[in-house]
Amino acid sequence: MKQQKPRLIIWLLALLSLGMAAASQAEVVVIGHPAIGADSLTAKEAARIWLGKAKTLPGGGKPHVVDQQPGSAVRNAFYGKAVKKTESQLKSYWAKVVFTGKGAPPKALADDAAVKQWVASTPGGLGYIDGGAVDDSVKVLLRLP
Amino acid sequence: MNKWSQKLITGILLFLAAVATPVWAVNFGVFGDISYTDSNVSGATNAFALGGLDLYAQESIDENTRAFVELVIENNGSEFVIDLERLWISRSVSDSMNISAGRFHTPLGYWNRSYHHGALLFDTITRPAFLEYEDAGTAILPLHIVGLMFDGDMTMGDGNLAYEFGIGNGPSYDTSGGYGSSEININNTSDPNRAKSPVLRVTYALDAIPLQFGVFGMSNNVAESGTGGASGVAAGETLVQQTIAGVDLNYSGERFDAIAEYFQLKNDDKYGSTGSHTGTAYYLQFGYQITERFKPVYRYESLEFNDNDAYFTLLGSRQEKRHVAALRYDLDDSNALKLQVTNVRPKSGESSREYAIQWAFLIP
Repeated sequence: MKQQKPRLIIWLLALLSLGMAAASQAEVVVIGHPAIGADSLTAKEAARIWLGKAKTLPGGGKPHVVDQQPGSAVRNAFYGKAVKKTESQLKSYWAKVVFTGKGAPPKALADDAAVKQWVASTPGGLGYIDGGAVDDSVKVLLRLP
Repeated sequence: MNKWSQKLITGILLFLAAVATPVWAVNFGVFGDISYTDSNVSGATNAFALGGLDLYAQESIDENTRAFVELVIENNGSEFVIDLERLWISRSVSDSMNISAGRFHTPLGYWNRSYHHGALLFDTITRPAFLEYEDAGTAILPLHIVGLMFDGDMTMGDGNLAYEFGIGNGPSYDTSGGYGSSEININNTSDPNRAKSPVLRVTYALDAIPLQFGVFGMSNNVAESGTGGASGVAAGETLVQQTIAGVDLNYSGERFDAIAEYFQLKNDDKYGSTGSHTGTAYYLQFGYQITERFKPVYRYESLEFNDNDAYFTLLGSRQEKRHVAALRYDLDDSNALKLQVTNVRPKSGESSREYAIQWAFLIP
């Protein structure tokens, strides 16, 4: 019995590391309305769209974007991978944009399901969700592994 | 509790009441700055100074409608006052048009539509002197307007074309205390005459490089707003028929940036017999981001007009040139330290040198 304790701890640690690795490598997917003009986006294009800097989509048309809730894993992953900004930097950025009257941050929806539903039903709609939540109701424009 | 404290608390409560419902939808922030200034002007004293404390909020009322309010608590020389700087409601009626009503920063050039009252947003400590707001001694332009604004943008060629057209109450000036004793009046709740001021700015921003051009113009009947004033005309009568025209250019590269603005003010005397004169005001500013945090900036400013120009006589303006050298150090995204030396060279009188240090911040 005495020899089994360290082995159990090692197994638990191994499982925990696997879980953490899986969480940190979760894929974020940028999705669009099925009829959206663009077939794909680069991370740089996505960043410009979510920061309100791009007025038109690469394939034409005006983008309408939504966010996920501040603090959510998928939001942190999206802004870290595509926009390269932390939540604090994002807050300062939008404060300046709002102050200059040049726009407002995208509205934040509750979760992947809400974002997917909104994007699927909004012409020009764009959002980002966890890779595992994608289905045929939306068009995949960018994968951020 | 003293008088200004009561006003301050009342203002904050009104501000919060205006933006508090529903709380979750409000984007609220505060800009502020603290400065230390000194100069070589004989008799001038060195001093610490609280800059304007800027409270602002924006709420999306629905998918297409936004409301914005901005209050600045500032010292007018003798006491703290609360100024309503901007207040507007805006509705998007199409992809290329928004209609707004309220009090705005007049779309006269780049600076006035980009930096507003947030000291953190610009690299120098001071604005170009001729672009100071109406309550400052060097102000020459109606930089706020109350009325309607139409704005929008559209893709055109390899860039983006944007427009801002406004129409609002014209500026006025109270000469009761003599020329140069008052400030340009924006007329928030009434207008001394029926003439309204149209203003238009059109900009074109290139996609390939971070370069934007702008042209703008405004027409004003600057009215007398006092009675028994030095001008000798009745309240509501036109003092100066004015046409403002100008161009602006802004380049914002990875490291290097430049801003240039040129204003021409054609002023036709309606209270005297000095005729029509044209004054010019311009500045050129260059900045270079040496590292992520350090940025030196240089600006040259100029204001020139005919000594007999009726408008500048009203304001008590003086012709001058300024050299401004500044160094900005960003502590992070929300606060920055700035150093500035300003050399002021009036057309007549002695030159002077001013030194300033500022800590500017944003509470997002």
